[in-house]
Amino acid sequence: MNILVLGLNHKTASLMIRERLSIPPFKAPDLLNTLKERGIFDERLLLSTCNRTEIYGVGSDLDKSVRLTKEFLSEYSKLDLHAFENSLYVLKQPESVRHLFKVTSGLDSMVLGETEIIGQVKNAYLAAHQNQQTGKVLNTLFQRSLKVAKNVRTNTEIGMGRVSVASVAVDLAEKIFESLKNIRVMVIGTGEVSTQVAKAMISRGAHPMIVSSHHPKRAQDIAGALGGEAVPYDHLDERIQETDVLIASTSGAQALITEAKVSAWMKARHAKPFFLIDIALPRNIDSAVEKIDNVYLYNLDDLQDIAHTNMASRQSQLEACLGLIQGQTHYFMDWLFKEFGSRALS
Amino acid sequence: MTHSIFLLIFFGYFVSFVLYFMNFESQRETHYAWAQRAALFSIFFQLVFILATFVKTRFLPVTHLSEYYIEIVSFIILFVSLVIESRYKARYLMLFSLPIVLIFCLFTIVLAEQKDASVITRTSGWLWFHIGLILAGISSLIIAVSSALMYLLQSTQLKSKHLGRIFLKLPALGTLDRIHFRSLVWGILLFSLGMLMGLLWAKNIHELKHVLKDPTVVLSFLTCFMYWIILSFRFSAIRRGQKIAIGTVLALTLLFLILLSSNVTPTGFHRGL
Repeated sequence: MNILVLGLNHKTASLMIRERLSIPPFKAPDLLNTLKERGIFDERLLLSTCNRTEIYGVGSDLDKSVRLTKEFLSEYSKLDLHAFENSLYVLKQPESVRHLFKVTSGLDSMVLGETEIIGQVKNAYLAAHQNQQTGKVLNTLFQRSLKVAKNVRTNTEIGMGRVSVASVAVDLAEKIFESLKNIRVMVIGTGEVSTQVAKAMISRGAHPMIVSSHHPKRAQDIAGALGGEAVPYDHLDERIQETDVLIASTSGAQALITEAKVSAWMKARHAKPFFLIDIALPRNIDSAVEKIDNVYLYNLDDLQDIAHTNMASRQSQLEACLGLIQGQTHYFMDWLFKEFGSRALS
Repeated sequence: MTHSIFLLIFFGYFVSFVLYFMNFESQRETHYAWAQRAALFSIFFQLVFILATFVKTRFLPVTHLSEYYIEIVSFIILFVSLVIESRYKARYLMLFSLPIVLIFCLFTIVLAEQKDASVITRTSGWLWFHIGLILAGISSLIIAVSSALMYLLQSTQLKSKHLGRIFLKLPALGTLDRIHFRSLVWGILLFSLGMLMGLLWAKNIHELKHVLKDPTVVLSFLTCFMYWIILSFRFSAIRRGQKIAIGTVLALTLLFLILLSSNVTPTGFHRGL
């Protein structure tokens, strides 16, 4: 008996191959039944996300199961096996166990330490469990993997700090205003990054206002899509009083927002905290506004620096995480040998 | 005996502070849980001690020994800090309140000089209001100082753009500003009312002239005046955020002086002299 994982991920396969082998959740029960009918593994589970497709199995005749699984994947993807065989990895215990623990903890993800994978692993397990595709080994393994992920997050700083520009901006806003619910976000310009940042803030409950002098129609379209309102450029000064976050991303050659302007705005706003995000190049906001009390100015470089620092900080935690996972792998293997004795060694 | 118990409570708070700090520095949740337990245990022990004193003497001898009023102030500060920490999810407020309480306690242990003012304590109901309001006011102002310190740290991090562990662990500026503002308002109101009660009582016993010459009373007036100025700036929104927080922290020095003056000044009504 052996625990095995066969699959591919963003490190081993191209996007095209990953797309073809991707298994949507609604198809998983049928495919698991097909695997069962073909006698592939005694216990089986399908994990498919945008970055990976993996089949976890428990069985004794592994060579046969691996061969049949590869054929099954070729059949499912309608790709010749040779087209993706080199992208596949096959790991046996204890590497398969360690691999699952790494995956669930977000250490094998494209964005190191991300948490979405925990929910995806949980859903994959529940889908297989409800279809009676799992037994004692996979039940224990997957339940343990969720605990390991929690353990890793609690005892290390792998999940600390955001690693994308939009999420860093949201994080900063939440550290200034406590919550983004009912916070007013004004976006000057209709650039892609500014819209992304605004979207991320809206997802946390913020209300957007889109301002554009050159593209009023585009501003209206974006405002409509984001569920906000388009504000004419002439009304900017009037509406700034109710604004908490200002995202500037126009293509103007000189600073649109000066220190004097912000000082006047702050008086009108009764010195309420003001978060300014300058995404434009060249910059739209005069860096001197930083000196004003309760004004927090971040430009694109600042946000990127924070994202990079956070990523470096996560990387520095990798060793500690792997140490924890190694310990948990030993723990699980001990349980397996105690439970199944010599069968687990064969 | 009371001194030993007080030292024991002091030690409990110190252990709690160390554990809070360890949790702040590392990510271990067990440190936080133990820090809370140590704080809760010490607070409970202190409450039992205060109640036991009351049962034994039939009054709270807050003017009897400086140890007792520090006992009550420490108890209120830490109890309210714990409540705020859980209610507002303002983690680590205790980490900032504990050192202030520890310094208070340390000063008192070093400077405490037993004196008998029990006669004064039993003379009037006015005095009970005076002492209760003053102690609650001081406690609230110290919580305002803790939250102001946290606010200053967090805003400095945000301004510097070098976001470290402190940024991630401290609450949002909005949360800290709310705690700071509310505790400041309550603190000033209670402290002012407490002073008014004290003056009315002094007038009642025809000691007003004597009381007004007491350094503790003069410093109390000065502190109250400073805090009212800070609060009026905050209300009128002329100053907000960092500057108000700095003002709150600086005014703490006066609070310290008030507490010390009631112990070290050679003369004064609050010294029973």
